[in-house]
Amino acid sequence: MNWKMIFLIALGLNLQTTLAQDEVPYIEKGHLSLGLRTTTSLFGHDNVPGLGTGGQFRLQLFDRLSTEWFADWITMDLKGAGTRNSAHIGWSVLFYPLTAQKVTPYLIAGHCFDYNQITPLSTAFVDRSGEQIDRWSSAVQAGIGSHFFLSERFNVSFAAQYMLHLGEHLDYELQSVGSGYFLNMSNGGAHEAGFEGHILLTLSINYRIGDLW
Amino acid sequence: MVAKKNMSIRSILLIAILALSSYSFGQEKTRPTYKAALSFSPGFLTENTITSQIHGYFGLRPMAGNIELRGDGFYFMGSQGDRPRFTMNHQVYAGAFYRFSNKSLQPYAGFQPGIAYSQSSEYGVPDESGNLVYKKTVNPVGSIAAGVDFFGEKVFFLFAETRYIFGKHTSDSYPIFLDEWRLSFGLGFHF
Repeated sequence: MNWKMIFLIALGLNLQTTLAQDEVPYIEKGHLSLGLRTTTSLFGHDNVPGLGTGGQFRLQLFDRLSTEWFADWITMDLKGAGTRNSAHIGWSVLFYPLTAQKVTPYLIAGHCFDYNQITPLSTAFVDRSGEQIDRWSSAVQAGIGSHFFLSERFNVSFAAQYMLHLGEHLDYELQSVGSGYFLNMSNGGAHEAGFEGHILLTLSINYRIGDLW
Repeated sequence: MVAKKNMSIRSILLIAILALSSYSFGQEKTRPTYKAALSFSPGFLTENTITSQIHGYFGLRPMAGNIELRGDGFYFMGSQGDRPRFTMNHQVYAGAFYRFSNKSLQPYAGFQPGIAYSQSSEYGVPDESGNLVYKKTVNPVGSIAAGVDFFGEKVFFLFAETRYIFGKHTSDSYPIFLDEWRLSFGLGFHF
């Protein structure tokens, strides 16, 4: 009888612990987290992948709504014909359609300011540094993502977004020549009106540092 | 009959106590909040090239959980082999590691985004006076790392780690892959 009682109590305690673990508040209003991210840019102006590093912080406004403030530095090798460097500084809103669990999907949309710099290839014999062009512009981005909580405070997040650059874009052309490529800057960096976009895949690690309210 | 039953209960109890005590001893936790370590770190590139770096890091393991936040720095010392590539390739990383154990031997694995401050030794561009200038640039890199810590003493620990680094050095001349496989074996202290 006693053994049965002990067994039942132990089972009850275990169940209680399990339930308590299930109710860990992964996401709550007031949470502030810091994170680092690595970004891949795909299917852009030159159809060349880029790699970026950056950081972010997230401020949870409501239980189902959060904000993300980020900065990225992305570089692209334009098929050996030059370099495109991009900086993104912006913010996004995250909406959680489901209750927060270990895996919590979200919708994300936002705005950023971006800086782009195009540098054509120079060699020991040809110096094209004078043809470098750059510009600041604005962009909007939207997509989907998911948090993967490894602990109550720590999560790994993955997001796929489409970023659409607004206003004028840099006018240059990556041309196939013989066995390689040439970056044609013949318009002298003239800005051409129009939209240009690309996909951003972002992998980030985030740690909750505070609960502000 | 009763004596035999009592004997068997006693035996079970004894075995249970022994098992519990040995379990508790095995579970002795080593869970430092702060760690700092220094190491020599050789790296391996393609084309029979070996690099050497000084590797240091600072780790922070906040409260509960198995996550360690860590910032790493690699000071480039040089390289030798068929294609040395760089005269400079300092790197800093920040990221997180998951620790698979809290015992004295702790395996871990993680991911760290970072940046490389690099300079090619191969491709320069002439300046106004015709001298070749090798531009130094900041380039994004990423790193997947795994290793093991051995906490043998109260303050010191040994670690062995391997990591794969991926990225590309871009500048005003030809791009160069920063991809590298590195090893680190060093000593640190924790508190």
